[in-house]
Amino acid sequence: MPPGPPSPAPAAATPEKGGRRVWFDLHSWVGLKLCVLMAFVCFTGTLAVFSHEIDWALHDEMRVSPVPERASWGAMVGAVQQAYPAWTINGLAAPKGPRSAVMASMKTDEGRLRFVWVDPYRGTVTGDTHWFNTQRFLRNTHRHLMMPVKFGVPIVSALAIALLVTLVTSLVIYRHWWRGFFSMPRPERQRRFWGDVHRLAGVWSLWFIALIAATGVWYLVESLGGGAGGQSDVLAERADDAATVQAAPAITPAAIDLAIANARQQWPGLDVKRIALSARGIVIEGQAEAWLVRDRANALGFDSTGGTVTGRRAGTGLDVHHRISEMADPLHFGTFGGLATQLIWFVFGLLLTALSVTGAYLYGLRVADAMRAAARKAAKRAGTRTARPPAEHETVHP
Amino acid sequence: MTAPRDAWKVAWRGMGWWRWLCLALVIVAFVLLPQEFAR
Repeated sequence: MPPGPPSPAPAAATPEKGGRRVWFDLHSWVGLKLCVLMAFVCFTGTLAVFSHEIDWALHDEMRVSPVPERASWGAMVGAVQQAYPAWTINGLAAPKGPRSAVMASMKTDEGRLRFVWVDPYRGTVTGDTHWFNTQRFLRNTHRHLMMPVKFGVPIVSALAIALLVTLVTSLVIYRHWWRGFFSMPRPERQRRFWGDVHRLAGVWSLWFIALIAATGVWYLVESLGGGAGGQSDVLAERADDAATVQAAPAITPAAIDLAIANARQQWPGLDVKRIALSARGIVIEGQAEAWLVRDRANALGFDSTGGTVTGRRAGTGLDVHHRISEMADPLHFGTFGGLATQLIWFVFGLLLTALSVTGAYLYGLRVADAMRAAARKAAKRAGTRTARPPAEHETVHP
Repeated sequence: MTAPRDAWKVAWRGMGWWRWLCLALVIVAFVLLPQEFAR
């Protein structure tokens, strides 16, 4: 953000102003050079906030009408097994809303991934869809530009450093920025107007930029080997682990219902969000007492019969490193408060994208104005109106 | 007054070689799309 109405851009006159000029140049340089990639990553991330809702609107299979009764998790697994006997169930995810279907992650007999959708009220299969949906498209584009994760994630998350630089420099160059929350854009000249828009959007987005930059830096650290590592295993060790995938259907719907009943008894505060099935047993994951954690932070493991608890993992018992790791996703995605926080994240995501675009536009206006002014000056000096306009590198900073 | 098109042209030129790097990364995402889709 260049300086705003309370304090216009410095003119490099006094040492103090000259100091601010450096910060302004750094802000401008980072914002301009990375504008294309930054705007693309910000925009795909913004759309990703509502990726599930977009899929929900696109696919009939994902839409259900609520009734008072609900089918059990076991009945839903039974329905999936009956409809797709040759496919393997990896797990079931709870619906995202009252009108959404339960999602079963499946592997076909050809080894391909597909989603099967189940009506959570009637316990019937509504159909199956391709694994690569809008959610996957936006996530993979935003997270690693479809590249192999080990290259893509560090490249994208390194943008968090650029975001931090623009954030810090904006606070220096926009003097008295805290007075800018209600400075409405002045429509007199387009450079002034877009400058005001840029500053206004920026000042309201400060908290969001800080949040996205901080979580982005964490993803960068994670991708470069500083991650917290896997969660503790809640399933019993098994010697013949190679047979995991083939043996998964051995878990019966009755075993799942038993595991759910046991989980509710042993952990009444656990809101079941996901069930993972394997030959080693059943893992029930969800939200419980800990705030701002992924579903996997709270888990209960059961053997294949669903009768014996093999392990427990609670979000409240995480060390600092794992806590940061768990908090990053809910904060970055804005999903922790349902549709309300998603809407807030979407609006501020759009503002962040707009900051990138308006910043580049402002640079263009500023330099074009300076070039024209320099051309006028040169023409005046030469005593002719047809003087050659100077090249961009010949102009002084406006 | 600077026309918006001229301002965009100046901004585009001002990005230097970085614009090609950024654009290449964005294009890569779409080039690799079929590969992801086939998984």
